[in-house]
Amino acid sequence: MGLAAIGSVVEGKYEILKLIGQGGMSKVYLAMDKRLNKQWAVKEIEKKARDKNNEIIFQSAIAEANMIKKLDHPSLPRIVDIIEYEDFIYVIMDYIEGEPLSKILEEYGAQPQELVIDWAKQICEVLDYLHTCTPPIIYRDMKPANVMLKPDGNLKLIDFGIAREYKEQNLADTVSLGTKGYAAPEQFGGKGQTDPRTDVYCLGVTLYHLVTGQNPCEPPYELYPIRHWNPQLSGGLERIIQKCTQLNPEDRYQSCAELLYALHHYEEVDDLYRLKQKAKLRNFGLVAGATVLSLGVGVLGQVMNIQTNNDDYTHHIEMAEKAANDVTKTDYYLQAIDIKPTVNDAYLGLIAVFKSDAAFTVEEEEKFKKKINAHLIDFRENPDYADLAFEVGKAYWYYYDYGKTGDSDNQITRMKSSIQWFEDAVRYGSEDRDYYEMATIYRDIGKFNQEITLQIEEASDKGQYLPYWENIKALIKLVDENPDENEMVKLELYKLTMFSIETYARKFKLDGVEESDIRAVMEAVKQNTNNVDVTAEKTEQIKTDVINRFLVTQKAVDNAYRKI
Amino acid sequence: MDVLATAYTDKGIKKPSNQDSLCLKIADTSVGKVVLAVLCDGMGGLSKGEVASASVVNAFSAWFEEELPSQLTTKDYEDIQYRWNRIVKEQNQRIAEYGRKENIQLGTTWTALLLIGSEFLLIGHVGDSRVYRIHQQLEVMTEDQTVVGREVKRGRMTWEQAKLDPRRNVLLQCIGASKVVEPQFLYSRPVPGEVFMLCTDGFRHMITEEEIRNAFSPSVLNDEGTMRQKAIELVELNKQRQETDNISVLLMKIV
Repeated sequence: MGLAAIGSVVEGKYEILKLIGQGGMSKVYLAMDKRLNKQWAVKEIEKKARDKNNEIIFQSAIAEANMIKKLDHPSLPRIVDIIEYEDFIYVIMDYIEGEPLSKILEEYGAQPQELVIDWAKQICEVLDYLHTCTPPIIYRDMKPANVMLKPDGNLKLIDFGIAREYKEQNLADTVSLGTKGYAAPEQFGGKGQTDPRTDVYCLGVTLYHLVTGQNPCEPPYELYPIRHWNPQLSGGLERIIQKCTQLNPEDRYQSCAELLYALHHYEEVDDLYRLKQKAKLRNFGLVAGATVLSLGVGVLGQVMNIQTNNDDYTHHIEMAEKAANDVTKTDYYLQAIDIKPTVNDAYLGLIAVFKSDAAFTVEEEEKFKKKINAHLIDFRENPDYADLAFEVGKAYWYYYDYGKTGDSDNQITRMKSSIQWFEDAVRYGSEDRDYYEMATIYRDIGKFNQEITLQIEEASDKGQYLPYWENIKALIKLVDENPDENEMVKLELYKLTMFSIETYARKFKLDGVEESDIRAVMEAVKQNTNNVDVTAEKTEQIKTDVINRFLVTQKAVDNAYRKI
Repeated sequence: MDVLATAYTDKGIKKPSNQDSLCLKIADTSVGKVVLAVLCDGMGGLSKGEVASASVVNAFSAWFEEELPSQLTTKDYEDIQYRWNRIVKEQNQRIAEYGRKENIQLGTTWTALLLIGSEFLLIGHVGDSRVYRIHQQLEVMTEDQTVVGREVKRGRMTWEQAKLDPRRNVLLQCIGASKVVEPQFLYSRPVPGEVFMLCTDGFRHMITEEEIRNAFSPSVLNDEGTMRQKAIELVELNKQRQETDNISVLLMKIV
C-alpha cells in the first residue's frame, strides 16, 4: 500500500475511506472531501511501477491524466485534480455509483434488446466524442466491465487511459481468448494499429455479450449471428453487430457516428420491417385497383357477403393450386388463411410452396409466423393441428436457410428451430398417427444437438450419446423404410449421421456403442448415399459433401476405437 | 525396449525470462521403461508466466512419483487419462485463483506424453505446443488450439495466411485463463525406431518441417549425446533466424 492508508488524508482534503478497486499497477480508493462533504474516487499510481513491457508508466500516466482532465462529457468521469508525490501520483475523479454491466450480465444474463440498443447509443456517443478530440483518443478496452450503469439508468465509461493494465500486446506474446474475447484482431500481434474502428469492434462484441448473454471469453470463442442464440432478436441489430465485428477494419462502420446512425435506424434493416414496407406498397396497388372495381360490385356485394366463407376458402385454395408461380400461390394461400386461420389446408399448401425451391427463407418464415402465431392457441384445439406441426417441423429441419452460406451449413440452427414444432406434433398429436414416432425422434435429436455443447461444458454429457445414437439409427430405419422419401430428407439424414459419428465417435464409445454397430451404420449410410439419385443442384451438393466426409469419419472411428 | 531421451530449453534472444517449463522422467519398472515428458509454455504479464508453467509441470511430476506406481499395477490406462484430466482442471482453478489474488492474468499451455514400455502411449494436450512423430515421415499428432489453427482446419485460411495473421498467437484455451479447459487426449502404441518430439511454438516458427525431419530422423539419433547436440543445433538455428520467443524441445527415441 502506498501513502494512502485507509483513514489517511491526501492533500489535507481527501480522506481515504476504503479500497474499491485494484490493478497490477494502481489502486482505486473511495475518498471523502472533508470540506465539501463529497465523495471522490482516488486512483493511486506508483511512480516506479512498470508495465509488462517493462516501461515506467508514470510519465505517460501523468500526460494522459492531464489530457483527460480537459474532457467534458456526461458519460465520462471527470478528473478534478492530479496530485504528485515523491513515489505516487493521485488522480482524483468522480466516484461513480452503480454497477458495471459485467456484473449485471453475471447476475441476470442477457439484457432486453431495446435496453441494449439504448445503451449502445450512449456508448457510441461518448466514443465518438473521444474519437473526435484532437488528437483522437482511442478507448481500446471497451467491455461490459468498463461500463458503469448508474442508478439513474445512464452509463459511464470508467478506467479509460490512465495506467491501463494491459496495453498493446508484445509481438511474441501468446495470449488466450479466455481473457481477450473483446479485443479486435488488430490489437493482437503488437503492431498496435488501433483507430476508431478498433473501438467499433470492441463495442460490437460488448453488444453481442449484452444481448445474447454469451461471454466471448468462453467457448465457443467465436461470434455467431445473435439470432443463433435467440431467434426472437432483431435481424437489424444482428446485421449491425455483424458489421461491427468484421475482421477487416475496412468492412466495419468507419466511425462511431456511422454506427450511431445505424443504431437509430436498426429497424429499417430488419427483415420484418422491409417486409412491412413491401407489403405497404403492394397493398397500395391492390387498393387502387379495388377502388375502381368496387364501384361496380358495391350493390351486389351486400348480397354476396352473406354466403358462407366455405366457398371462398376452397376457391382460394384451388386458385393457389392452379397458379403458375410461387408468388401468386403464396398470396392465395395467405388470403385463404385469413378466411379460416385454424384449418390446415392453406398452411400445408403454403409450406409446400416455400419448400419447392428447397429453401425455406427468413422472409417466408416471417409471412408464415405472422399468420399462424396470431391463432396458435385456438389452432391447437384442432385435432388436425399436430399434422401441420409435423410438416412445419420438417420444413425447418430440412429447408430453413437462415444463416446458411456457401461454405457453412446451418444444420444446428435448422434443428433448433424445428424442435418446438416437433414438440407440438408430439404433444397435440396422438400415438396412432403414423408420424408420431418420427416426430418424437426428430424432437429428441434436435434437443440433443441444442443442449450438448452446454452439457459438455458442464461435464454432464455422459450418457446422452447412447440414446442419441439409438435415435439416429431409428430415424435411418424409418426413412429407409419409406420408398417415397425424397432425396433431400435422405441426404440430410446421412449427412447428420456422418457429422455425428465424426464429432462424437469417442463419446459414443465411452457411452458403450459397439464399434461393429457404428461401422455397420457407416457402411449402410455410405452405400445408401451412393445410391441416392439426385435431381437438383442443391442435393447434388449435399451428396458430394457427404461423400467427402467418408474418409474423415472413418478416421475418427479408427481413432476412437483404436486398440491399445 | 529402451528409450533414449533428452531435453533442451533456451530463453531466446528477446525475452527477459524463460517462461517455458519442462520435465522428463524415466523409471525402470516391471513392465519396462516408463517415460513421462511434460512441456508447458507459460504466458502472462509481469513475467509470471513461469509460475503457471512450473505449477503444472510440478503437478505432473508429483503424479508420476506418487500415483503412477499404483496405477501401473492395475494397468488401468483409462484411469490415467481421467486423472490427467482432473489435474488439468485443478491446475486451471488454482492458477486462475492465484491470478485473481495477485491481480494478474497468467496461464500456460500443456503438452504431455507418457510411454509405458512398448504397450502404451498417451498424449495429453492444451494449447499450441506440439507433439511430432518422426519415422519415415514427419507427423504432427496434436491439434493447434489457436484461432488461426481453427480457421485453417475449417478451410477458411491457409497455413501461409495463418503465419501472417495478427492473431497467430491467440490460443482458444489454456490452463489458468480459460473458464473451461477441454484437453485433447490421444492413445497410440509405440513402435521401436520411432522418434517423438515435443516442442513449444517458439521452436517451430522459423524452421521448416524438412529441417526438423533431417535433424531428428531416427537413423540420425543413435545416442543421447547426438540427440542433445541436434536439439541444440536447431534451437541455435531458430535464434539465428531471429525467433523472439522462448524455445524448448524434448526428444524421445524408442529403441
